[in-house]
Amino acid sequence: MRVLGVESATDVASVALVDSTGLLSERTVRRPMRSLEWLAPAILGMLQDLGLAPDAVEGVAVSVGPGSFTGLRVGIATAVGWARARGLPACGVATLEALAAAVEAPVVAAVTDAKRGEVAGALFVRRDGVLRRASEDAVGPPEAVAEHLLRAGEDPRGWVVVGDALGRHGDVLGRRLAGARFAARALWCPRAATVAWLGRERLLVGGAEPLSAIQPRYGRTPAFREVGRA
Amino acid sequence: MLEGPVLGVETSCDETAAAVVCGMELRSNVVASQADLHHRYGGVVPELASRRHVERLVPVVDEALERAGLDVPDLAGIAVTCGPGLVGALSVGVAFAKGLSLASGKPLVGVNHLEGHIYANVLVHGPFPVPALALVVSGAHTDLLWIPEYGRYRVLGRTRDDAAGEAFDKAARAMGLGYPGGPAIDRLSQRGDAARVPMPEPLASEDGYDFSFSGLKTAVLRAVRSTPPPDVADLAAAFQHAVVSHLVRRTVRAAEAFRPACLLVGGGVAANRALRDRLETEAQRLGVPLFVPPPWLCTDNAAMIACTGAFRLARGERAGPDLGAWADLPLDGASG
Ligand SMILES: [Zn+2]
Repeated sequence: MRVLGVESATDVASVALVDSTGLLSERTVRRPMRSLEWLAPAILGMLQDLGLAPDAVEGVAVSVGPGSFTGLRVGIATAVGWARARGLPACGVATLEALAAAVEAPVVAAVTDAKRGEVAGALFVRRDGVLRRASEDAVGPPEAVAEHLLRAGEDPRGWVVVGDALGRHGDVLGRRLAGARFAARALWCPRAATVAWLGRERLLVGGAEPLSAIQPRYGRTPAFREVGRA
Repeated sequence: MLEGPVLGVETSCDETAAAVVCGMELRSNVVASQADLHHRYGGVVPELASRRHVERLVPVVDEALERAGLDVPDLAGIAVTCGPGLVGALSVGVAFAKGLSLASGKPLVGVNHLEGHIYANVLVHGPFPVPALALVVSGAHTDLLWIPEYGRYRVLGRTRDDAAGEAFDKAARAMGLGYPGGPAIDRLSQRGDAARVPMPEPLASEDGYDFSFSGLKTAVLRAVRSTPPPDVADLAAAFQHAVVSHLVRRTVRAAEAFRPACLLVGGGVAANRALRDRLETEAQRLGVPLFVPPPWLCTDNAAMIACTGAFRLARGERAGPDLGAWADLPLDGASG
């Protein structure tokens, strides 16, 4: 099954195509002008590179957060629109899970920069080669998220921490998770290839979701205020 | 106008909408209103609106296609509102429509929401004669437009502060009425006497075609705080009368100066009965045909977007995969 992956939860926008042989193509850019303008041309460009027509896509997977509210909605709407057009199976993939999946270690803590001084984090364990979630997603100050991870996994020695939160909050996280090691920097940003790969595994075993059920996981409730009609 | 079925998608503000138009025939028109959601905030909360759009869009599009008795492969094209409006809200519809179009190979066109309000008239009255004068009046816009020919626009005047519908919302809130304010004030003013509360005439000394409603809103606030305050029905009647008079006076003056072949009205405030009645009277006096959509096509909907899109697609216009969303999208600029 040839699966399209879409990832736009963070500062990175990424699209990828995978099949049974592995990665076919990926386009990734840090801070695209706007993911709304960037995603669709990137998917088309990728297909053109491969000499494929749009009907070559057989399944769709999209990163559902936590992450940038607008980024998540644009990624999901693009992916869901694509799947709806051809009645393709589709599913959402947790952004932190996709991040953790790229790291080969028994315990992986995935942490993304949630902006405004906050991070999103979750803990994953790998048993018999299979990655399993060991905690829910949490969004908050890095200290609080570190506590959340420690409650799920206790001793951080031997953990590998991965994600772009290590850029701005590496000091705090390193201190709170003493003994954990940081993943190679090249793995810090979420990538559509992993999203597509995880999604493909799920779709192959009947894990497609109804399209309207593929929704953002915001992970944080903003203070809503009235701003008048626009 | 494109003969085959066109799917319209509209998410510019607080209605999630999809519709199918085939030729001039409306095949389906689905609107999921968010008014209940924004009610307690007294206005549209952009982040909440965007969240609701991404939740509702797929079921709304499914229902529109189902009621029209067709699916994506049967479409001749897809039209989506790309501005003006709330950027985050617009982005949901634009991203979805692009995914739909690219995967299916169906042509896509971006539609200006204001042009949509004008084209709502085409769905019920057929193509209008040009040159035309158009008044688009809603919660977000108060624009007087000159249409020398199809697809060309010149802004004669627009509001300098609040949109007319926004003024209705704010006045309703000051009077302790519900949201949206237009229908509440329209209802209440039926048993009020407008003559009993004095209201200023906005921009009375100016010759242009601009509008202003903030002075009327202030007058309502002042009246509510005065002792004793006026009867609320009288106040509602006076406010509505003042808003309608301001809109009608400017429109009539433009009609006298430009001599259009017809007068087109659109937007949520065009559902207001007092405004419709007054415009009807004035249009008859001027001998200009007046076109106003039925109230259900005045408020935001996707039928008007599909209809506008059908015209633009028929002229060969196409949106690229990099189509964006714009808070401001001038009709008289290079918007395509
Ligand atoms: Zn509108």
